[in-house]
Amino acid sequence: MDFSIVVSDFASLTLDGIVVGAIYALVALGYTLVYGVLRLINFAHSEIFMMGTMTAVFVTSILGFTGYEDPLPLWRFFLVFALIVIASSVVSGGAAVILEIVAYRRLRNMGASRLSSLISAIGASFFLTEIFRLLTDSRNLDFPRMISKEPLFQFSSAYVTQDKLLVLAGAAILFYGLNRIINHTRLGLGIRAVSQDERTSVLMGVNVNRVISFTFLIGGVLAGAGSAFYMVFYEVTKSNVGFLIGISAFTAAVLGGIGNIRGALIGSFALGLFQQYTAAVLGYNWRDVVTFVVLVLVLLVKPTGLFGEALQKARV
Amino acid sequence: MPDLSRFNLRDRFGDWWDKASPIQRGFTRVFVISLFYALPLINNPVIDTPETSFQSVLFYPLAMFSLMAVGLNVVVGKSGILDLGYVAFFAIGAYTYAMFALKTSLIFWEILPLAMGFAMLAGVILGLPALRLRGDYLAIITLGFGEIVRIVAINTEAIGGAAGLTSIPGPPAFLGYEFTVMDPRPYYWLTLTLLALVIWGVLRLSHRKPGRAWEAIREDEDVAEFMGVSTLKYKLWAFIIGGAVGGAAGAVYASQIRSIQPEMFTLNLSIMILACVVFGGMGNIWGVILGAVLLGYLPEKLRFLSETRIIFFGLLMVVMMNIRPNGLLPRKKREVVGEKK
Amino acid sequence: MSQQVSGKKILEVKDLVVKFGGVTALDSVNLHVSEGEIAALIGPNGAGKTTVFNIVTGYYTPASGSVTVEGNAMIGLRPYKIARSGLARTFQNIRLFGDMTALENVATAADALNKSGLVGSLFGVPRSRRDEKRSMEKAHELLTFIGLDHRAGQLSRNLPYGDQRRLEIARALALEPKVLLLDEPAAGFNPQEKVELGELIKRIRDRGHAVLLIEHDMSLVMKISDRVSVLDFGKKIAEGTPSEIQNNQRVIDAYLGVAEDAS
Repeated sequence: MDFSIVVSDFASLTLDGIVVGAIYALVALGYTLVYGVLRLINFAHSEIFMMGTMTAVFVTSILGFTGYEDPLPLWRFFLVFALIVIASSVVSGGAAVILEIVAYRRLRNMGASRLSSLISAIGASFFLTEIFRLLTDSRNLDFPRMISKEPLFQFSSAYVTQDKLLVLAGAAILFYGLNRIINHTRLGLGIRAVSQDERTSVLMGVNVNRVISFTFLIGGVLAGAGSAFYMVFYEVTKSNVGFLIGISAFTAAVLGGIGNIRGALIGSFALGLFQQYTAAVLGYNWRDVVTFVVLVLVLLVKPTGLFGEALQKARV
Repeated sequence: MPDLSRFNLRDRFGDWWDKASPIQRGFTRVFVISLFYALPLINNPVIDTPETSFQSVLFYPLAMFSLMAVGLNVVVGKSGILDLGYVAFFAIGAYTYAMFALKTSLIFWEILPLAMGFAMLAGVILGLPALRLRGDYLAIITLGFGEIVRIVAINTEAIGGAAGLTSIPGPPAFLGYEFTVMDPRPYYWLTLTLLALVIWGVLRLSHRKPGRAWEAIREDEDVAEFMGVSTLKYKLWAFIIGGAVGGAAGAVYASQIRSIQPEMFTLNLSIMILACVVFGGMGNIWGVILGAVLLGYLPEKLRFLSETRIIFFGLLMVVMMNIRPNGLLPRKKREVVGEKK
Repeated sequence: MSQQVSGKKILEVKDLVVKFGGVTALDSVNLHVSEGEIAALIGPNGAGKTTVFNIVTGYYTPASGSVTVEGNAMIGLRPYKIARSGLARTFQNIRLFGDMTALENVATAADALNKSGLVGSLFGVPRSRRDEKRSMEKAHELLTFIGLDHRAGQLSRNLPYGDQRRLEIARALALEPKVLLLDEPAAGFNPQEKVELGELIKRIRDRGHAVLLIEHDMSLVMKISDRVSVLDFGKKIAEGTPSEIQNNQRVIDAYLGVAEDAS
């Protein structure tokens, strides 16, 4: 195992780690927000992300891209990209809201056990993955290159390209937007209230169903937007892309402390960086094992994560 | 529209069983068991499956799924521990058999306990740390474990890597029956026998202290602990038993199919077995077997289902949880209402 | 009533400090229960009474302090070990094993005192068989003692409310506790049922179990308790015989909610 790679390529690995971390964060926020209000791991959130990637590919095909064109002029790219982001966000957000109503709401009203909700979530996840696997014939779907990936400049070992800057800038905008929603709107207040104490929130007049739908919507929109950034960066998707991204994003959320928004952000960047460094040393094919190991270690050693709440302990 | 959530098959049978005499019960047992052993001899177009022979389907998926479902049921159904990585035990059993069969001169019957042992050990290694966690987190860790086993198998050349292991020998002839690649019937009977043994064991445990402990854990783990039940010990045992059964199934499977690759042991399989347990009746041993038989047989029989098998299973899980969370044959006991003295 | 109290302390809680986040739930609480005693723990809502039960039975670990049963330290032990050491409890919100029958509920607790293991049960070794018989007999006997033998085969979730409360007591008794911890056992009872409950608790004491009782019904507490401790905002503010407590001004103030610095 050659550790010197980490040193020699430090800047490059770090840049990539931050970019990947940003994408993870956009997905991790969905897990953490839903967990905050429902104390449920939305297993199917990964498929919400996947559907966003599919939407992105779909939009490019509707617009007539074949994948063989030259990169677009920047202003045109932004126009097209904005369209894609909006489309993916709408699809993912809408799918998330529908998912909640179909798979979880009735169980919530029935007071079903956590086991039942989790099984329903898993069923939904598999259902969606397989539907899209059949729709795409198990193929990889390519995303046309619409933006030049020529390095703008080089910083130590890191090649700074436009797509990476795009991801970072876009994510920053979305984080800021989320912050405003959570902290400066009524629905955001509702989310914070329900996360803390659902029963009291109801007594205080909060419409819990609406808050929950809204939470799913936000999570879905973020994942959808994230999927658009993902496609620009990675340029390929598959029906099971949700699974691996989901595991990483979920691990990031747990690492930061599930239920804690700031934790999800920090955990995502931390995991993104860690993945890059270990992949450089061990090889990419061990990356997912490493991620799982991180998840297991966090849950065993410090289940509250870096910033999180205590693991659910029912009051006796 | 009848009230789907309350229709109760098991009680109807249960009432009859209670009133039956020991002779009637004995006869029923012998009859039912003989029926199952005789299944491969039936040659009826109505039950025949289009793609593969009925005998082959009897072995896999029917008998195999049933065995694994009974194993998983002890973990999920009886004890309430959501295990999403059951395929790991299956894989460990299969690989243990394959490696020992290929590299040593041990025969199937000698390796079988080893395969079970390795799987049980895996259950302990996974369980000791993981079982201290709460439901959702435990589920994720078990899922991770299943995936890790698969990825390690792909990346470890010593056990075949991505190409897997081939030319695995089968069991030696037994009672005049040769275990050949062509004929799935002896494997079916072998699995059926294992299934019978496991059912016997699980039923015995269920009606005694372990069964009560598991049920209490599933009902209210905290209170079970307050009532003196060592929840960690019993949850670990559930894992160990589940592992043993999964490992045994894996060994038999490898000995039949003669070549294994990591891609055979995916999360999908864990989910399929879980679907059998959920659909059939969590905690009810007959229910999960029924679930395994239905979910194994129907996709083989109906072409359109076999393509969309996972979609069907996923949808089924969502629907079942919403409409009839206890499954087809519910776990709930039948009550005996006495007279107040 | 008082003659049976021997003075030998079975359960001792010393200087117990419990914090949840920034809140001090219990502040240096001292309690004890003596052999043959029916002790009561009262106080306004939120005073920390159930928290005492949760700490003593091992659900939470205190910030500091000690809990001993007959001199044996309980802090740091897992709840099941504490249960087997002689502390059994009931719950404010009934927490039976709903899908198990009444008999099974009690038998599960009775099992805890048997040493037989899983492998033994599987192969039907003699010790397992004896233990099984013993558990069943004990369960039946306790159900009879509590007056629920006719409900033995019924699912506990289907029992009427009063029977459920009593079943919880029977289940706790199966652990042969040295101290039985009852958390608001009379909640939801009508006056007649409360009288019967009082008699039952006395019979339990006569069987050899000391009792520590959290209750809001003052007449019940005063009638059957040998000694009463009062908690308010996590502190013990008074302790004594029922009549002493009834006339204690601090206790009266605590219940009426008179603010310390009312002007």
